[in-house]
Amino acid sequence: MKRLLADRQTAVGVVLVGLFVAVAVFAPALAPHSPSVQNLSEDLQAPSVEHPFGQDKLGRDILSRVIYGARVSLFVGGLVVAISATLGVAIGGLAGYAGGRTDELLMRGIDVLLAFPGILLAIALSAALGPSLGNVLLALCTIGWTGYARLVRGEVLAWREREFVEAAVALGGGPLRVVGQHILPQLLTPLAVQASFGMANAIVAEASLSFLGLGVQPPTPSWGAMINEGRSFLLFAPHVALFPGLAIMLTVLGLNFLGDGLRDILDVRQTDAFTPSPDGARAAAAPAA
Amino acid sequence: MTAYLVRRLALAVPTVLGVVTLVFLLVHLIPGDPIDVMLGETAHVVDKARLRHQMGLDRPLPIQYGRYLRQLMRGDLGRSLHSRRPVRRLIVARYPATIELAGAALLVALLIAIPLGLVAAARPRSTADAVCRGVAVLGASMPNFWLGPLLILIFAIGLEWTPVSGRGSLAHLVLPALTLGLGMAAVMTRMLRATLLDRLGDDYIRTAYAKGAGAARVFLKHALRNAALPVVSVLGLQAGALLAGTIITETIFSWPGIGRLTLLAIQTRDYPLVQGCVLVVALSYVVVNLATDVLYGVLDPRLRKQP
Repeated sequence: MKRLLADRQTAVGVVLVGLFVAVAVFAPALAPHSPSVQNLSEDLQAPSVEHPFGQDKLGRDILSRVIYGARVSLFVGGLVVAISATLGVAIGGLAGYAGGRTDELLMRGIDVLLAFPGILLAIALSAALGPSLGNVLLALCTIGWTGYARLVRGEVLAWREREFVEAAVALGGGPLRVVGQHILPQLLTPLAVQASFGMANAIVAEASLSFLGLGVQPPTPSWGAMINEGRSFLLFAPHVALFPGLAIMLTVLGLNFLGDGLRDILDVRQTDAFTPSPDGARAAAAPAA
Repeated sequence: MTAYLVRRLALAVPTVLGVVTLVFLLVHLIPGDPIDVMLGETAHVVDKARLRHQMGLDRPLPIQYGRYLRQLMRGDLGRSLHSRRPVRRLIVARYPATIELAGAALLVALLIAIPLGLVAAARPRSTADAVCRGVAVLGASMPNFWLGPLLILIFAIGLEWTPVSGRGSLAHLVLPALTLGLGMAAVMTRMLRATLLDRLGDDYIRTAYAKGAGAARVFLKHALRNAALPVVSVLGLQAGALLAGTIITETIFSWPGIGRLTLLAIQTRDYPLVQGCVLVVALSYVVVNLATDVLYGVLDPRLRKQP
């Protein structure tokens, strides 16, 4: 943690992410008003002392909706990362360790999913399944796990040639034990970096789906849907779209700073000259398609 | 080179087949009866039966799949439920607008990323580097569905320099291309800077300096040329984001391309049209990736010799 905070940019990332996590957790205590109470006589009011971010077309307090919106964004981002990472580690570990036909088959399947631009597949799935929070999670996990699987497969291929892994196999260690106990701990660094960027991507993707009307449905506050709503009032009430957009940008900025910092600090090339494959960290830095 | 090309094309075949299969299955993912979803539960039973037959949904799944593949071979993407026009014709009419927007966005990205990446790498850890990196990270963190309205607010409504939306003149293209291209520029700037810094530490750079080459020559002729490879691969990856990004950008700017058509199709539950649009965008992405791989092979002869 000390090393993370030593770099100014990473420290900003930690503070921003920590801030939004705190906002999401303590939303009921922090929000000055209810996010769903309407006040039609005060629609589209500009920011004031009573409503620092102004009011939307139904007179709802935008600050409170931005605060509650953090819950949706971080919940979706966190859950997508957790499910995608679990699936990706299992499938990538299996492909890398088993090799041969299993590897070939799994990798071709991943290639097909990666042949779709990520958000396009999520949009297509959400369109077919119908707009809801559960379907957003399903769509984002469907595209999310492939990155982790590729990363883990590459790392497992590199690590399984190492002497200590060969020794574990020679001592009778089964695949689960060898991968889980000996190889997986070596992958925590690239996985942490991938998770950081993955969460940023998931937050933007959720907001994109909500912006298109395919994500979280009203009256649940979602930053993407709030921006879409504010688009109609850009001329005379730009604050409606401005603040939720700022919230997304700062959250994603924080996660990107954190990811960059983690990669630099935990980069095995800098800390351990004997580690075989630093490609994982680099792969994680590659943008999600 | 021919063998490399054939190998790449052969690898693309199962991918294309997988894409086609997924797009085919899309209609079958609809919960409940897809015909009810498309026409509404109150639609007349005769209309429902007609559409079910027209789409082949009254046949077993393997037969539907075979029929779908045969139709695709003939270039038949089905018929739109709402306009009753062939999906292919609707897509062909919109495709040039999307290509125009994606091309302009790519140009914007290159025009921003190359100078910024060069400046940042030429003076690492300087103020200029910090500014370039800051701009890049900020650009990468700004979602296009927020950037678009912001640009409209500043340049179209505030300064009145450009039209708010629509397609027609070069001025119409500026804001959508910036919205779509800035994110890509940010990713490319970071990639170019990192790769250039890596290359500048290589032995051949020291040799070039030792032979008396000037800094500009070493930088542009030796380092930049070798740094182009990873940037080209990022370009290919980003092309997917670019194509998918058109759905949002075209919606914001009422740009009459495939992206907007896709969203309209989704909103009206016109699933044959949704399938057609998704298929065309995904196949375009496969082609762009294939072209990137081939370009990679041209730029790096070592890759052509790999099995």
